[in-house]
Amino acid sequence: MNPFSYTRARDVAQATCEGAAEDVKFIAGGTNLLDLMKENIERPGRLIDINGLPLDNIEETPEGGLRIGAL
Amino acid sequence: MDALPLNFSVNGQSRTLSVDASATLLDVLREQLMLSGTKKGCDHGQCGACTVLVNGRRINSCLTLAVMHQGRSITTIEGLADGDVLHDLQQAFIEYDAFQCGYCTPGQICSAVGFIHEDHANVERSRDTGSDDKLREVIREFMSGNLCRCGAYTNIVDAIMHVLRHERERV
Repeated sequence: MNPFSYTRARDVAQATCEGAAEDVKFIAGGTNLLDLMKENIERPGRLIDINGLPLDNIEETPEGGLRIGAL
Repeated sequence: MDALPLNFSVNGQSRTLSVDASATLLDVLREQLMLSGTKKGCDHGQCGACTVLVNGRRINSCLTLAVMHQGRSITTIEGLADGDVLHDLQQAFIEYDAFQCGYCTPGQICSAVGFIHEDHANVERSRDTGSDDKLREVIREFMSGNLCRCGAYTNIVDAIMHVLRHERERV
């Protein structure tokens, strides 16, 4: 794997702002990304760990639908 | 690359380490914590030899970074026994001759421990309605991430089935 820096996202706003930069990837489970990084197919300079973010909810919306969190 | 602090619990013991960002949980367990029971088979998440439990759930430790597990509780094969008393699955693997070379075995056992605690409706139904063949099928499906080149699969399934049936009786 290439050298990279690692940080944990504090909140969704910070994550989306910093994640927009080039050379930055989010990591959650990591089973796909790390596999590709081991083969040097993906070479992000920076990983932002989003596991601590409150994105693991499934909620009903007023319109009668569902909002499914990314995690 | 800078070293990052990592505080977590491994086999019930609180550990504080300094790790590279790129160090996998597998490499940290084996190389820094000297817990070599967990094996590196393929290092790409395909064989399951690296299976450990994180907060009770089974994962491939080769496809996760150690730093991602800040504050979590890791259980490796070394942490299953209670002193000299083997875990039910370890005992069953011996009684059912569920290993030959033993290389996949730590991953098989950790994966099986994770599996028996998973909420699979099919497993419950199979346990209650009793068809051995059906239960074997379910075990094979949910253990399909753990390969065994020696081919001890039949006995591995028998060992897991024994623990599933036995657990039911105790409850």
